[in-house]
Amino acid sequence: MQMLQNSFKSAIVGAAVICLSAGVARESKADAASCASPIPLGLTTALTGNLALLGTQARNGVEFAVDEINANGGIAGKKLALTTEDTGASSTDALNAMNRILEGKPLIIFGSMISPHIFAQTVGVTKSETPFLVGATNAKVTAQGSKWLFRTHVHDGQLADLIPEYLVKSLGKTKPGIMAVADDYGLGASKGIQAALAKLNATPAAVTSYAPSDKDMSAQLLEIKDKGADSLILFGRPADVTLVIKQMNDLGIKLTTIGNASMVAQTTLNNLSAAEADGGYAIGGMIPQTSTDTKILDWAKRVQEKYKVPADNFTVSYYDTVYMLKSIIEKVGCDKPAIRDALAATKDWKGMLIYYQADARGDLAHTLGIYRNKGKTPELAGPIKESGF
Amino acid sequence: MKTSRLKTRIALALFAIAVLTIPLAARDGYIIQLLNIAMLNAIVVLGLNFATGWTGQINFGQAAFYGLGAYTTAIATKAGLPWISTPFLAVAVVVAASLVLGLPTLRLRTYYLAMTTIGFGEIVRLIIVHWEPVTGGTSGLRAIPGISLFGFGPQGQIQHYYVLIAVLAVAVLVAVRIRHSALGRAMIATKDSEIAAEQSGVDTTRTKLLAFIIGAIYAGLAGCLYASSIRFISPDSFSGIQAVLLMTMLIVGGMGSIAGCIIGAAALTLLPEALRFLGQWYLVLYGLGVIVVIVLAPGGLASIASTIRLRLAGAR
Repeated sequence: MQMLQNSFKSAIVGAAVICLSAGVARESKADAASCASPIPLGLTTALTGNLALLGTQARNGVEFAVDEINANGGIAGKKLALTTEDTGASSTDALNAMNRILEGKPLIIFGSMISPHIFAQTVGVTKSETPFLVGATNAKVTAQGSKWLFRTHVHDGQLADLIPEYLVKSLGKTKPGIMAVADDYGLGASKGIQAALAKLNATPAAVTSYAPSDKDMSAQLLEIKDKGADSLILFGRPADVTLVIKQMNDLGIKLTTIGNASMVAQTTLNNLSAAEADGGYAIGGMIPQTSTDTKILDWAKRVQEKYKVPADNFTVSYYDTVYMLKSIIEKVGCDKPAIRDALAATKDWKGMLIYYQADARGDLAHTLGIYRNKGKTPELAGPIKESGF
Repeated sequence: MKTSRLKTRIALALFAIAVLTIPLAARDGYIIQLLNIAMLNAIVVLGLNFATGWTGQINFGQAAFYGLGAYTTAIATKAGLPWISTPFLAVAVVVAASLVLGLPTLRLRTYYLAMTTIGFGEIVRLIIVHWEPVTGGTSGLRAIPGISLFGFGPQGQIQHYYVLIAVLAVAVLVAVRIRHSALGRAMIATKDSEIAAEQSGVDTTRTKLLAFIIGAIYAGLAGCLYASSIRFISPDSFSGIQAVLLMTMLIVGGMGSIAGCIIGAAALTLLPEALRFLGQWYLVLYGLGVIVVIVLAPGGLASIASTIRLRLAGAR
């Protein structure tokens, strides 16, 4: 009788376990299955105008990842459908592009790296309660108080702290000249750099800037030279950084130069001679060409073959972002608040070159690379992390 | 004659009904926002028409006045001033700026004046970009308080649409009245021949200055409404590219024509959006469209109907 009772109990427990596990399995399947087919994604980025060179890197990164995922069967068998809208170079156009994307009710929206465009779009996206993933580099982008906005690229605030620190502590230079492009990207960084230098008891010899469309920066370079700078902190876009380095060479100004990732971007290096590029330092997002991993180098090669432009730090960041979302959707399904919560709880998610971890503001990237050009080849001197990570 | 006037009135009434019922068909989103921006552009272009269309002065400073109105409004409302004060403040700032620019430069002619107004636009842009504690620099100003009159204000894009319709209607009426006033005739005379106008007793410098100031007021008020309805501003919305775009709207619509200003602003705001399906090629088609209009209808889109009518009459 006792045996019979035990067998009966075991049978009930066994049945309960089977039912429970079946239920759990059904629930996790139901999560992924709850997604619309295809899963709608939106992207707004600059594909025309003077910011197109930057904006297309976001498109390339997102599109390349989406194509790969779809080629491998999608997410839980559902394909991703990416809608891309051009923001052009103006915030008003960026707003129009975002309104158009919102009409399609996407599950997730990717925003560009152009900060004023993101500032213009954030209110609308937040109202729509859609996760908004951006690469915009202005430190204040994630300080807007939106629970739906996340950034997966390093920002100017991190660069502004780390560039002076490396220059003063590792390279031993205490009197740099600062030259920055007079736009949202450069001026924000220039202010941060000056503040960080002050904390390190270093005073810049000269602080200069140039308009994004300027072609002659010799006056600023001569001012920096005349004021006795021992180094140059250069913050700009690849096209103008190229011009500054060439003009430095023409003027015979030889200063240790450190700047943002534009210093080591392929588009910059393609237009410099080996002698001009040699010795330049950069701190910035992770660029794939410096990796020693053959898989990453092969990826960079495939991206370049497809889009005819080299992949850069933004391409990597946007590519990683899509895969991060894939892993989140596989876990929590297509519920927007659940995706937002999962993004906010991101911890040690392994991307192509770095690990991502969300902080309280919604910043997920905290690892940067230190690079040095050897001739026209950038070499990774090592990663550097934001303090606290 | 009476039949023709009746026909015009019926057409205008039908147009008004169509415009007022658009929000019933379109949702509160992309389309309405786009129409709101088109109306704001139309007000700015109407202002540009005073100096350029009627007085013949090439003015590339209109985007800067638009920006000054927007920034004045944003800074004032963010500082806690009531919204009702901002249109007056915006007008005061743009009038002061137009006097500073206009008094010494309106004796210049043709491309010299154009160069000066381009320089003015660049000065305003640089001030906005570099005066960061006040203007927000290149990041712009966000969370700008909306339109509010004694605690009441439009909510959502559809309500803003009706406010902007009303303001545009007033702007058109004022422009019509000015055109048919002595000042309007003086503007046209100045455009046709400054020497002849002066010989007829027109103070051309005063006329040009007034046209310039009235145009700046239109732009300043539009800027005020832009900041309060879009609620985010940054320097790129008032750049030299925007100045060229405004001039293109005037030329494509029909320089000197009030209807042309509205048609040009609507066409060049809506067309790029309508051509988005072409991807990056839309700029090519957009550019070709502008060239075709300028070549085939030098009087602008507004002149097409009368050109066709004249040709038909000639064929008979």
